[in-house]
Amino acid sequence: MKFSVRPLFLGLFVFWIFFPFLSIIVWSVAAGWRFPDLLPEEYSTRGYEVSLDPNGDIVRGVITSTVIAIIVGVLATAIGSAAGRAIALYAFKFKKLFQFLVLAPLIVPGLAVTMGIQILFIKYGLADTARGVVLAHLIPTVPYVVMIMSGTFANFDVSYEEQGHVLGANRWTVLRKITLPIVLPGLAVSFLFAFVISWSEYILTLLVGGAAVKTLPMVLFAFLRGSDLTLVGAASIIFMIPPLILLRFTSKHLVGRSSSVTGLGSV
Amino acid sequence: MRDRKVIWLVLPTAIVLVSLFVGGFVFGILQSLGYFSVIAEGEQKIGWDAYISVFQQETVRAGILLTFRVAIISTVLSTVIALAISLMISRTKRFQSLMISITQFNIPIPHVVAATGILLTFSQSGIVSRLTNHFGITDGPSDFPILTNDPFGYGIIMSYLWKEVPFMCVLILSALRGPVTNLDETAKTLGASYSYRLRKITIPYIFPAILSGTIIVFAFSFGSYEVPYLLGEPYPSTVSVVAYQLYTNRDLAYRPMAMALATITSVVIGVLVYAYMRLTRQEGRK
Repeated sequence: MKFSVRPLFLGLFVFWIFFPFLSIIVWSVAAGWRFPDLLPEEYSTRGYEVSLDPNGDIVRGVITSTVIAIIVGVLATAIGSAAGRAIALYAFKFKKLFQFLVLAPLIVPGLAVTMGIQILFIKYGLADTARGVVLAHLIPTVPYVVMIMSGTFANFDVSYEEQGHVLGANRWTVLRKITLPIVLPGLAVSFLFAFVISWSEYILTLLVGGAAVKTLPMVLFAFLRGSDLTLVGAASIIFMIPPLILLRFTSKHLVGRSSSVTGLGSV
Repeated sequence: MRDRKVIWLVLPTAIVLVSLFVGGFVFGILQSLGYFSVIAEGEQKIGWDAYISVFQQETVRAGILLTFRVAIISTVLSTVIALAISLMISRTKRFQSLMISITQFNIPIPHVVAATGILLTFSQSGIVSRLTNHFGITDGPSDFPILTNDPFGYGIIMSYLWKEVPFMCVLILSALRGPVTNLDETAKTLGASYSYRLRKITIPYIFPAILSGTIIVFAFSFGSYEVPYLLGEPYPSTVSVVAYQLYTNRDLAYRPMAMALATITSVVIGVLVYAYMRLTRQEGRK
């Protein structure tokens, strides 16, 4: 019987993944947690009560974040999926250049380009507005949608559409009855990815939205500057829920043959 | 005809990325050269001054070293650890699907939350410090090593590893699910040893996945803002944090310097990624 280090390493890995979550969860229900204590002496729901106050910063942050992330998700999905189809199914002039344009935002820090564009946002009244924040969030989200959808359309059989045309359906009917149902899973994953990227974004929102657009990450940052760790814990938990729901619906697509995140290898 | 149809598919994305991304890059360069200055006319010179003066800033000099250190250590460690973990998971039989779910678990978690978790766990009064105190290894919070908001960047690196090891595991594991398993089985039947199969079959096969993973992780850990802001020190801090500090400085004379630093950061990342891709491509041809 050979001694194997594998269970030990994998155990450590699992521990390493869950330990920080544990800290956050315990803090979120602690009534106070002095230093040497391994666990809080008392527990309370204060963190969640404060968080769920309808007029509180967190609830308002959740609403602002949700509205912005839904708009970003819809726009990015609509814009990027068309390009994804073009990359997967057609040859066209400057295709390499276009692919480069799509991949570049995944490499270049969003902060750098948004700092540059901010002067135009100020000029055209987009600074300190939710509209401006939505535009800024399109920079990191559209490329992801293009990559996901080019993966989806790579397995798409155009002859289904052609058959629809042959049978007399117009372009709109073909899109609605044939194309969309087939690529629906890809569209759903795209929307959820774009939603979560927008939901998690901090620095672009701060830069463009200033103090005027208070999304949930802005609220959490403000709490982190304070000393109320119970509130930090509760806000973090609320912040994590939508991304974990996303995972529930997309985990199949994360590990798979047409994995969306591997696209960079083909540059 | 076909080209004309494709343009309507490509156009929306092209408009968004050219106006916002390319536009931001170009306007950043223009502002770094002194154009569009908010300072009264005549006081601002047009030229490369900002690119020289930015390197005279002490915060920038200290930041460059920290940024390279954090980005390189994070990238190398997450690649090595993720490769080891993925290979281990692929050889496990009993808990394989459970382990795959666990690697996926923190992929969608926002970096702000990751940094918070690391802070609450590894700070001097965090849970690990309480545990070492409890078992008599350390004596009180001040006896515990400073692992968060530290000058070396341990906290930043830990936070990146926490997020990026699972990310790279997902990439590598999905590559491992391809036809490579059959090849590996065949080689095994023919009597090839595990280390031989690893070197000649598995690693070459999953190489593209590792390549894209390292590029994304390096670019991200080099240019990200949230994590170094929350887990680093005010000084020295990474270039992105310094660039934002310069940008928001009340003295508007710092703006061109902020733009210069942002431009240099983007160009450095671009050049390094390009060089890395060229190098690894040659390696792959051998």
